[in-house]
Amino acid sequence: MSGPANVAIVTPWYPTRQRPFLGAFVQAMVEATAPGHDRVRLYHCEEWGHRLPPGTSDAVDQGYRELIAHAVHPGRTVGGAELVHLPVPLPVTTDYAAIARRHEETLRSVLGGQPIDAPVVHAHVGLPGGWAALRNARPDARVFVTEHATFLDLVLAQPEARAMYEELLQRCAGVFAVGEAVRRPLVEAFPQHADRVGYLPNPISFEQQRAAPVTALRRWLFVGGLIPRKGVRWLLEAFASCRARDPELTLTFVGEGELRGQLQQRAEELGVADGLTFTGAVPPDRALALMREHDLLVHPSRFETFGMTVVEAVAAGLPVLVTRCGGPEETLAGVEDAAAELVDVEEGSEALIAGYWRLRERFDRLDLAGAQRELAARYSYPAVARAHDRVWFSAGDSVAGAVQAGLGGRIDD
Amino acid sequence: MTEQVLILALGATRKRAVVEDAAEVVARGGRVTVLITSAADWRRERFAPGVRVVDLTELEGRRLPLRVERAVLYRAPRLAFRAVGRGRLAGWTKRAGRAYERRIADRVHRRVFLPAYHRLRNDLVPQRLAERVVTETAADLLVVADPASIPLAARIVRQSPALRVGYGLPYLTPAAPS
Repeated sequence: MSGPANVAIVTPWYPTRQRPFLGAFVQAMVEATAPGHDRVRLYHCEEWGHRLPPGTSDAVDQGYRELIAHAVHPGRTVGGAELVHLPVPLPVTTDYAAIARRHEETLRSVLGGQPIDAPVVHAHVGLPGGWAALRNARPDARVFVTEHATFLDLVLAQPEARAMYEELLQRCAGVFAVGEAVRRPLVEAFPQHADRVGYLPNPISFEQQRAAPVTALRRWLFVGGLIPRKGVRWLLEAFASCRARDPELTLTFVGEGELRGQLQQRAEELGVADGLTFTGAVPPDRALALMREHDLLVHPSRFETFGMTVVEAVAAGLPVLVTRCGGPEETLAGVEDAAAELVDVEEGSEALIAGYWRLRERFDRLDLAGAQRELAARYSYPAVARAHDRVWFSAGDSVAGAVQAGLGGRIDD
Repeated sequence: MTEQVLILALGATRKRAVVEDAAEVVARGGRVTVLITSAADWRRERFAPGVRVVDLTELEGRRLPLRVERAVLYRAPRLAFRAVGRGRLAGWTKRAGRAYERRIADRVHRRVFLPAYHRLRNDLVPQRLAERVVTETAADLLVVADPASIPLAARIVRQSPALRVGYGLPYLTPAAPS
């Protein structure tokens, strides 16, 4: 599996057995774009953090170098793409510059010091993915980056990491944000490079349809991490309140996280534990199947850069009750009345409760099929694949074009 | 021929992947050994039936100095408390025995014995124990599951360069296009 590829993709995030959710959107991007090209090669630089003493850490690095020839095997992933999975062992740190340099060095060592053999290199996450791609790309390669990071403010707050990000912006062919919530801090930090920061959304599959349409909003579903940022505490409170009026309501938490124990305990206190299901973390396919078995996605997040789950839910024929937390108000623009109830981010459950009853009251007037068609035109695999091909292989200023298209709301207009 | 897989998981930092990889080997009819540093790190995990888990701490506990320490610090006092604690004294000696282990024996073990033992024993002991497990397992597939396992894996591969080795079962098995 050597030789040149048409496109190489470099990412720190990609679903694994250890973290089956991480980077599901990168996997979707590969699945959408790879079938259109003879050879797409994905380099998954998976971070393996550790807290080993310095002497052992050195032995890990030495051993890793020795094992490269034996332990890194090219394989296959979605869309027929080639997959090169390489762990990046590194001491746990929040020094984003150091993390990015480690990714760069590890990728270089696996490549045997040779550049990535592809005319187009598309990386995910500016630091570390974009940096590792830029420093290992062929001199004539066009390097693109899609930024997804919710922690971009922390990266840009570190002087060295900020300087590296600016170098990335100067030297790459374009940086794409998955939504305004990511683009805004980049443009504010680097106004001189505003024309180099465009939009490219994550692709969503609209292929599989549910067996029967939603007929009542009783089976609630949450998909995501059970962490404070996702607003799951308020979701449980809202569920308990609504269930007091309609005892047939159920709620399924799909995901794992630090709050699981507290949620279970609180559910007992609220007397709603019998209406709750915790599935734990499940692979993306299973999460999508669960969407087709529920009536309503509730997404009470405090902040999202894109909010892929929300679009996936509409694609699965579900209406959504979602907070205005950054990404969703953009991704759902134009289909709010047809498929969604948007509520403000509040530290409380009242907005969710009121939103639920409003949505239930106007359930008969929803147009879920219409919303699906509208969002498929923006986010379906073919639509997003065409957008990638345009920026990868167009001769002109593709990034500015993508910015305009993104502002227009449809990338394939 | 039955596939023999050895999973090195000495760091216990990627437990979910280890448990799933081990289950897959068993499911496809192979034999799998998971080498771990301490069972305490894995007490929340459930390995599939048929998975052999080898605990290096437990192996090391079978060495003479640790056996003597256990006899002196725990077994002998337990016998003494049992001998004294008959009849009306039974309840009191049971509580006293538990308090002794918690307040004295465990502390002496942690604060005095283990530091001295680790200072005096040969640093290569865990390494040699691990290598003994590797030899016994006679694996034809080696999975390196976390950073702490990489140095041992490199030593194994130095001795057996033809051994198939990888950073996870999904990356070792030729996968059909999805």
